[in-house]
Amino acid sequence: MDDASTLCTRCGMCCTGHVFHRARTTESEIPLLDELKLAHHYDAELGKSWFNLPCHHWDQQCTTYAHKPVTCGKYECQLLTRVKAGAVGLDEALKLTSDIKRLGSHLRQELMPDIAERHFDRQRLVAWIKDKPSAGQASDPKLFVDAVAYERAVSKHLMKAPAAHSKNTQNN
Amino acid sequence: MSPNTAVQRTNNHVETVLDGEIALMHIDSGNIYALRDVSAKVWELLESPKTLAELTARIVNDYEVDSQRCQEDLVLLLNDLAKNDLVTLQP
Repeated sequence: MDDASTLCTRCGMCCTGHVFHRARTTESEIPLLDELKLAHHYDAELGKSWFNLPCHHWDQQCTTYAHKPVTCGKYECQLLTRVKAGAVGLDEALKLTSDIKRLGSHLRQELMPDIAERHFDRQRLVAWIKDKPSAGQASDPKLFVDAVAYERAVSKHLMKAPAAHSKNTQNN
Repeated sequence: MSPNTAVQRTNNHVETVLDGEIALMHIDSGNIYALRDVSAKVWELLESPKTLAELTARIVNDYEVDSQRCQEDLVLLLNDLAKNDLVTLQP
């Protein structure tokens, strides 16, 4: 297995809600989504179809890899781009994803205990951060700075590269 | 600020380290600062109080930087941290 595949297999955060709460799909994939029991919806305002994340087919690895939606195989985060380019070593990348997961796990336990282990709801985290009238009034300042650090790391490493520098045209 | 100026962290902050970056929040103001590289190293060194001269010596030892330039940059950083009540400076 090459470094890029190893990173994706060990990370999986683009599937588990750590980064996205939904993924783009197409009308033609709806039978597959139904078969995989992945909840999906059509956003009339955007004119696009989506399926919801976290994906329940992620269990340490993708359990439906051979029959996954197209978007799952196309997504490339900035960290993966840098690993493919040799700018970041695999060990460094794995340590980073492990650290982000560890912090995410802590935030999940504190802020979203109803979410299953290994899953996350980044949308809820962002809403929690924005909901603070002032960071200084946060009831738990340490948790607040943890959330901000998590957001910074996810935005920097796990979102896709800016369009001008990416071959990936997927819109997650 | 002189080389003998004593620098000490205040206790009015919380921090999280991730990806080599220290996210630092002043509790009262809620202002958040991100320290990386040399700035993060200086913050780590300030786990115990140091003089400007001690900080300069440690940074010069760890990074390829001219002592005079290093001290000038440290003064800028420490004044900024002090202005935001993250460190105190004792002449």
